[in-house]
Amino acid sequence: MCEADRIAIAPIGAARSLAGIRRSPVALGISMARLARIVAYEPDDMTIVAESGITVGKLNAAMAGARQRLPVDPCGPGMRTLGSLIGAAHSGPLRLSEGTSRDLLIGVRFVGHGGNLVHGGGRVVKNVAGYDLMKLMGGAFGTLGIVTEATFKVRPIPCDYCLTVVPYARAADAFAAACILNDALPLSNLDILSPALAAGFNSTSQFLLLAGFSGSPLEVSYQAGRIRDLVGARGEILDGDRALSSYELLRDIDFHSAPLAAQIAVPPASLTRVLETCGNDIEFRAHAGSGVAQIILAGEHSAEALAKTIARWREVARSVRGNLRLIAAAPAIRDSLEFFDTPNAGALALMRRLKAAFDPVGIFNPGCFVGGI
Amino acid sequence: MSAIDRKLLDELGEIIGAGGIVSRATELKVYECDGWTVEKRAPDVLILPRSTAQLSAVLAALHRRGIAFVPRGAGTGLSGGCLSLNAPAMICTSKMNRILEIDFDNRRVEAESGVVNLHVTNAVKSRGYFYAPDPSSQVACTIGGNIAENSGGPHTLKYGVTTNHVLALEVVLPDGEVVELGGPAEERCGYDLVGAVVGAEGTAGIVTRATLKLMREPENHRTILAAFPDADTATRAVSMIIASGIVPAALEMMDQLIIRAVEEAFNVGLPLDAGAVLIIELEGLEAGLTSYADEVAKTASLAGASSVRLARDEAERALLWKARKRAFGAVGRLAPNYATQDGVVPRTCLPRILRVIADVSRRYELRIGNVFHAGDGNLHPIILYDEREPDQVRRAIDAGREILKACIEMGGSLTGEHGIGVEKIGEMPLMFSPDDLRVMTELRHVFDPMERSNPGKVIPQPGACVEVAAPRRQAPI
Amino acid sequence: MATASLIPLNPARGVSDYDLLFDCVHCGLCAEACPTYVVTRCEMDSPRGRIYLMKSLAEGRIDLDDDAARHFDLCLGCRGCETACPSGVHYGRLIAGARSLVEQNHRRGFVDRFKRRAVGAIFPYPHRLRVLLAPLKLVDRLGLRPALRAVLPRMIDDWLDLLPPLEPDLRPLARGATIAPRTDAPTVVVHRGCVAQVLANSENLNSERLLAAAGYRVVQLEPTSCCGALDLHSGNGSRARDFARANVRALKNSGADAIVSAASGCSVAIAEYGDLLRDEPQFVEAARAVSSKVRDLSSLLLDAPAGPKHEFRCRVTYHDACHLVHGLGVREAPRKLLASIPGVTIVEMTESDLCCGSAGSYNLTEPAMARDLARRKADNIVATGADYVVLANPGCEFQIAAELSRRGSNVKVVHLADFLAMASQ
Repeated sequence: MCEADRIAIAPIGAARSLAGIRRSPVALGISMARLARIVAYEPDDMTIVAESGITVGKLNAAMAGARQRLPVDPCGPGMRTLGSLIGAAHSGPLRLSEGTSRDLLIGVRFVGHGGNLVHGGGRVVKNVAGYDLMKLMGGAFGTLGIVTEATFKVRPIPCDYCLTVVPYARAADAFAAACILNDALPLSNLDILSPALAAGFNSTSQFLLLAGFSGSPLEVSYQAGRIRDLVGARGEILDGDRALSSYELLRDIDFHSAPLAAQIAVPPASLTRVLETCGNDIEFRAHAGSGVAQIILAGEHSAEALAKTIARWREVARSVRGNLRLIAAAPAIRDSLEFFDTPNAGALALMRRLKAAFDPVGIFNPGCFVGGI
Repeated sequence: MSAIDRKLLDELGEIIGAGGIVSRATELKVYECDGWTVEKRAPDVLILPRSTAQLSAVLAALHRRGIAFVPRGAGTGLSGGCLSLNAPAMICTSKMNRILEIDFDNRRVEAESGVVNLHVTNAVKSRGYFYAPDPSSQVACTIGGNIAENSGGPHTLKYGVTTNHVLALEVVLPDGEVVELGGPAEERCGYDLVGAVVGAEGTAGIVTRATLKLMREPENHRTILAAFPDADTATRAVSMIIASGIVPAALEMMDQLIIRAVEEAFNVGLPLDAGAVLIIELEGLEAGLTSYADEVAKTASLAGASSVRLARDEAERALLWKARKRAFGAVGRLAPNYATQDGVVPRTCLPRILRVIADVSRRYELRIGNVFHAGDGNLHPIILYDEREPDQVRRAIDAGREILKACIEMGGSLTGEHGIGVEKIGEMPLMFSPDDLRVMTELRHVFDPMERSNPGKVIPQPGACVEVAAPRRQAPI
Repeated sequence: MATASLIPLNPARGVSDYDLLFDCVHCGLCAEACPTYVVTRCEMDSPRGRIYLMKSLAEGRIDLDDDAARHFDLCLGCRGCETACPSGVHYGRLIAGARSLVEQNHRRGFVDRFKRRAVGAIFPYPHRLRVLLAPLKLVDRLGLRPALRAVLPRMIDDWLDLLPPLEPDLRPLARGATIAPRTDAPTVVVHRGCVAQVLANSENLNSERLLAAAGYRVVQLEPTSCCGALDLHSGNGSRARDFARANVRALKNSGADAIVSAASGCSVAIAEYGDLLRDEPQFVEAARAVSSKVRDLSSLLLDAPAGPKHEFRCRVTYHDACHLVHGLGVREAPRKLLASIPGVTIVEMTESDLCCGSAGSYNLTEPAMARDLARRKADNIVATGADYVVLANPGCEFQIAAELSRRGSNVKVVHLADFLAMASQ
């Protein structure tokens, strides 16, 4: 129907993720709020099928009884729908140990052009029948169709979780320590916060290394011992509810409401240098083992200065074959900014062909993706 | 007549050098099938490029003449993925086998697509790293083939499959254009085209280079052998182990037929009176392993295990894995031929599907053994038959189909790791609607609008023409 | 496009053991274990490809043309594929059958025929080899080898390069028996081989002395004939069986409990007499009995109580001779033996069990492939930084020594028996 009239549509879940960067409004927002059922959950299969309008928080609440979870942890899981998790490729600190929705999504149902309901994958954890349509929907920001149902692999919730918190005066020292820890132990998460973002955790106004680890009581106490050996006495190891609430604080740092926020992704060993090169006027949360960081620009800046800053960050990311995308920008400056990096010409041509094949009329969230797709 | 004429051969020879072109019938014969030997067709010319530039020039030359081609790695596939179907040219990546860069700091390896899977791990293991996907053919299969089939292996349960370990690809599109997809960073820019190419079974062009993730070796492991009175009890134990919140690195099952065959061939000390055994491997921090192993042993006993044994040392562990990985070879000694399936069911349906298989075995009067990745619900029923009796061949094929149908009815899949290829192409409509298949075709056309790269694979279409012989035995999984 | 068929084949006839071909499930796991595949990276130079050619020949789907013969010829017969094969394919027997087929039905070019005939006429007969080498010894004594090289055809020249030094054997011999053999000690016979007793007899003598020192009763074999492996590998099955019969008689008469050879190729050939003579009812039982007694030197020495050890400080890398590791399955014993010598550091080389290209007379008939493999082996050896490369087969010794000397490397190549003798001094 929308195709006939060329009405641009977007699912609201992803629209919220896009709200911070959208330039031209879509004509029709499709609320996924009523597509929010859990279709099938069998704990012993460790898979869950749910409609895309359900939030990650609700989904996890339903699995808590079986001590399982979808271990993708974007900021504010109570707000984040599965649709936006997939479409906007949200992730959080746990990506280090559990991967992202890309690794866990094993089946997808979406409405494609012509209103056809299409499915890819299935309900089993291992499946190579047909092309991997799940990967296409991931990170596509709703530009190829509207995801209505998703099947995920889920994981058991570990017995115990602890969080090591270590302050450092210099970012480089924090990253060096992170590197040592990552090499020594299978950590759950490994993040570094710049001083302003770390303020919620302590008041030392230093860089903060947050290394989470989990497992059985025996594993946890062993790891705690190793970590004490490795970082020395300056670190504090939180456990129980204190560890969990600090982890939630870390997870829920909100970059979407910042006037200018970006996510930078580079080879992990380059992250320190990249953040250093980005300048002194940034605040960041770095997923150290993954080479991914969210950065915001502190202070007030003119539109022109912001555009320059973005260009500089991009250059830095590109110099190590990484990339950068904006998470949020104030409405006043949106028109002058590119939100996504432009892929190389060959890849971009394929992406345009993909968009044309999946959305020939151009109604799915037009004009907000890479290269104006 | 063949589209390959002298002029084209000369042109290809100029690109590759004479040593890289095979065009005589006797030599081409050995390229007429991979591990799926039911269907055979030799290519008219085989091209073995040594570099991306050569491969690109070759594809451009073929493109100008409208000639279709089949990519091939080591030819260890089990679904006929590199059968030379409706394509005169075959392009083999076996000579593109250099590991280009090992980056320990970033845990990345960049390798050409003809590199053998195990060679990646061999190159990094001295520093305590490994490449996770470990198909049983890993001593021979190539990274490019793994990417085409999205290969798994026993340790899929913990580490996932190939697509979870590939960051970037260099692909030569069917018209010869070289494109770089993805990058060394974990997040991509734009659509996830890497994810689309992995598992496309060579229908999106030819992968020439890949950036792979390395994993840190676990501190230690425990390998447990649990014996059960019957397969039913063993599969229920699988569910109970998973329900206890422990995710093993691998969880494999063998039934009685397989146990006896393996014992006869290798004498590894499996309990001959057992109806089924589970091999359960746990890995992680030494600090936690003993208690996990105890818990798994307790759970197995509770589920009805008649005996539970922990591998005492590395040698015993190696022996258990040898038994598991060579099980198919051992079964080859029981009957002149066998065919195997690769269906998947949700883990909790394992008891049901095994009853279906037992029932199929009775009704078709064929022996069927089971050795499979229980933790993933990925079955490999091995149907024994004798190709000299045409009726048995027919029954074996029908029995296989019936098992696959039952898998789909239980919410499962046609294939967990072998791929669709030509083998299961006829069954695709059981799993996917015409709309699903149409969208998949559209996706294929994004990369290969003329359907020249590995035509006739994955998506069913009429007009396939091959020499169909009796199904012979298949390879180990 | 294929070369015209020379001799038409009956389907299912001609290739021996047609049924055995069906043990191969076409999985391809053998490929990377095959030295020729590792070099050419082509399917027809892999074991699976060769078996497929045999099967296609037997089924009449291809002709025995130059291509087919070529790919069989290129096989080294190293049996690396048998170690890799999960289905227990009897590749050795299959390739021997294919070689016979080629010899009987395929006409080779002149040079190729000449080379193969020369090998077959000389090497199995120690006295012929001695006679032939006598003038060369004289040439060497007069320092005229360079002059000789200048006038010889290239091929002969390359052959000469593979010879070890011809001066009287300077390799040290182990001291005689240090303990008197117990009367109930098992008896061992060392099969001295053909080429080995001319070019590397120290290895035979040292094997005997080491065994005696370890408490075995060593008996002599009379007469010693070539084991027949050379013939078997060049498709001359009937003469191979002649040699086998002679050896079965002699070995049976020796009354030995265990049969050892310093050349692992000979060991495997003897270990397979039971199979080779399977169609000869009057011999098969004796042949099987003889075959079952084949042991390897290192395992016997490890089984015996260890004598006093002297320190011998050096870095050693161990090369797995194909027939020892793939034919007899002996991998750990020689390493353990080396490791038990105080002062010896073992450095593993990459691809220690990949053929060096010697493969009996292969380096004489297929010099190009043999050289590729020798280079690869030498690279792997040099990369270890070892002082010695130890191995348990004289063929490998000559081949590897020739390659290392070509590149001026000072890594010394020593047979295990000689090395143990040296270390015990």
